Amino acid sequence: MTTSTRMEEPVMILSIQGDIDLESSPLLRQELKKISTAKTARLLIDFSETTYIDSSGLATLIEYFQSSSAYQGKMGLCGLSARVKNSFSIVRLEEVFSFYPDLESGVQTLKL
Amino acid sequence: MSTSPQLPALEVKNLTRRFGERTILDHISFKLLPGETLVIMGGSGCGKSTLLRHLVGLMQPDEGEIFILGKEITQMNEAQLNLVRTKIGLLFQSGALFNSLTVGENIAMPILESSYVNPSIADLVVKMKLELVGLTGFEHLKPAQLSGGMKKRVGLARALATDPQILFCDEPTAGLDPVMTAVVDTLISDLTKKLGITAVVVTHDMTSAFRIASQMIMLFQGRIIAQGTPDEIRNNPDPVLKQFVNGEADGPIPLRLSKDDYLKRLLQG
Repeated sequence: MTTSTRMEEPVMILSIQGDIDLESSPLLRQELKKISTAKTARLLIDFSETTYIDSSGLATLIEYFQSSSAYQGKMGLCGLSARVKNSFSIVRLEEVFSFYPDLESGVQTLKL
Repeated sequence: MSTSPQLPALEVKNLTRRFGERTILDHISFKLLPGETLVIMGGSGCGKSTLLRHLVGLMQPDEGEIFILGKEITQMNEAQLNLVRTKIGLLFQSGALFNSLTVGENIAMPILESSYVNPSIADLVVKMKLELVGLTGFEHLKPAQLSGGMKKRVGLARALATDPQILFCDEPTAGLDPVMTAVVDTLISDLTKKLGITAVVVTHDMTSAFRIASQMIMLFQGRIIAQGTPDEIRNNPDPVLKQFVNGEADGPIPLRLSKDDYLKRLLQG
């Protein structure tokens, strides 16, 4: 797994490439810790190049959601494949996170 | 994590195991693709659990090969097997929980043992897995405070803790009420159909079996006597299979010794 960040003001975009699993989710956690420590107001996570996410990856996103809620940060997820989306829905996380079909719609909504 | 669609998740070739003069498993062969659910049926003592133990490397066969995710496991040493085991989940008949640990600690154990994830992340995974098996909020209880059915569901949550690619279950719905049976069946179906997990389920519960299976095999006296999709199994005329599937007392499955054998055993020495 690799990650990259860029700004599309005022939204930070975190792109994740590859598998998020037990081995790689601690790296994602480090990245998200940096983002929450900086109290990033609007974060869009781009999953269009993410091939798999396991429960530790989902838990890492929940932890970020909790910490960003403390400073009223906004968070969205976009570009999920059907299979990656299923990993969220099977544990009812579609009730927790905001999903967008693509980067553009995610950025537009988080800008508001 | 993704498995090539062409590669079987599990393949067994001519698996044979003998205990003394008894052949417990007699040239068992089958193949299972990712996302399929294999139900193994058969009467008590027919070799189902022994087969399961071979499939996860807990027993070694006398002959034959077992390929898990493309790797032959019968000749592996313990370290190699442990690596393969990180990709499989196993639900034992009893649940096999550690009584000194809480429910949450039991479920978190395989995650913390096999990775560098933070305990706070493992705690969140525990909560999600408990929700999957209908036990949200039970993480602080000890196994002794749970019913048999609840222990079994905790065992299932633990088997799923590391998101295995293959899930092996020995009697996952035995002792559960009809609602929880349906919950577990739906969970297994969701895991296979939505996430592409492969499941191998040993069960006596025919309602469950036909609800979740994409492939079925019937073991009788150590051999596979029928193999196919649920529809093929339903339409198979084999009298042993029919008796088992329909749960009939009368039929070819030997329940009692012949009168002569019985008297001989009763009156001998």
